Amino acid sequence: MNSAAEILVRLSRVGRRQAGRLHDGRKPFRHAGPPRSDTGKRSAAASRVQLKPLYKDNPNERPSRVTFVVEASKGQTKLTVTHDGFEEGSRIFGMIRNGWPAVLSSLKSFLETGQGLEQPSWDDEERKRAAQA
Amino acid sequence: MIDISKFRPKTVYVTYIASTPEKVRRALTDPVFTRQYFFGFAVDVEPKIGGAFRLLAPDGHVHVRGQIVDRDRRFISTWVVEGMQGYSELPECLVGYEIEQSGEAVRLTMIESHSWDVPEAILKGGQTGWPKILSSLKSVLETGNPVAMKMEGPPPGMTEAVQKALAEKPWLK
Repeated sequence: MNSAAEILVRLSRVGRRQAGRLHDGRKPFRHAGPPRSDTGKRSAAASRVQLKPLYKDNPNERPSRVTFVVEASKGQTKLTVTHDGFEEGSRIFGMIRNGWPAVLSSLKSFLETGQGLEQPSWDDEERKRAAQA
Repeated sequence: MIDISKFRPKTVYVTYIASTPEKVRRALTDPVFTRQYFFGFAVDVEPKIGGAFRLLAPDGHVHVRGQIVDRDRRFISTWVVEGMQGYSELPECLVGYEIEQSGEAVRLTMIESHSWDVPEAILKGGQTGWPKILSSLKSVLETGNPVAMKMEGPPPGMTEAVQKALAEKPWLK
């Protein structure tokens, strides 16, 4: 069982140390600052974190917005991730939309079993999707 | 047999599970598993195309009834919700599961499809329930323990949207 605060801590740790870096060590994400609660006050215990990803491989895309909302109830935690702010005809939207389920599935496995999932190869996933279309 | 080409995907969820395709398939079609993660409902499957598909509540009443449309690579059945007043008069929808190996994990895709222009307020019902069901399914397969979750009543606006749809029957137009 994880409390909201624990998951929040884990999320921001993962965000800063691992998920925030590409394999070659570059950082595509910018953290939007300390968590901000729904009331707009900054607070370490707030359950909302926003990130502003920049795409260094696609510099023409304007930064989008990722919001994590963590809600605790009776020993469980509901994490809602909303990624919006894409421009019309975004090239990266398709990749990102297919990426989140794998990342969030792995996060859940990591928190519940101590071990994340092997991440699918994007090339394989893209090929599969193209074959199905 | 139902013509599935008239149905369009409206709600899609993808989850990756550390398991095997066989175990995931069993978890979706075996009542011993579904009772653990599907709000206590027992699935009852007649294993053939055209066979009956039912979800039975713990007190034995039929919550969902339908018919199996595909049980090959995908497992698809029609769904009519019997367990909530008025809902059974809505057109049936399709619920399909696709199970694929993805590296060492299994990629499970749930697709809820409809044959009419369903209002968002009605889709919201499934969109509230599916993440709980699929999260708990993943926990059962990976840890042996479900995430204990109760089924909530219809989300705000859903009951009104169902009543409006039943009065206007937009699927007949």
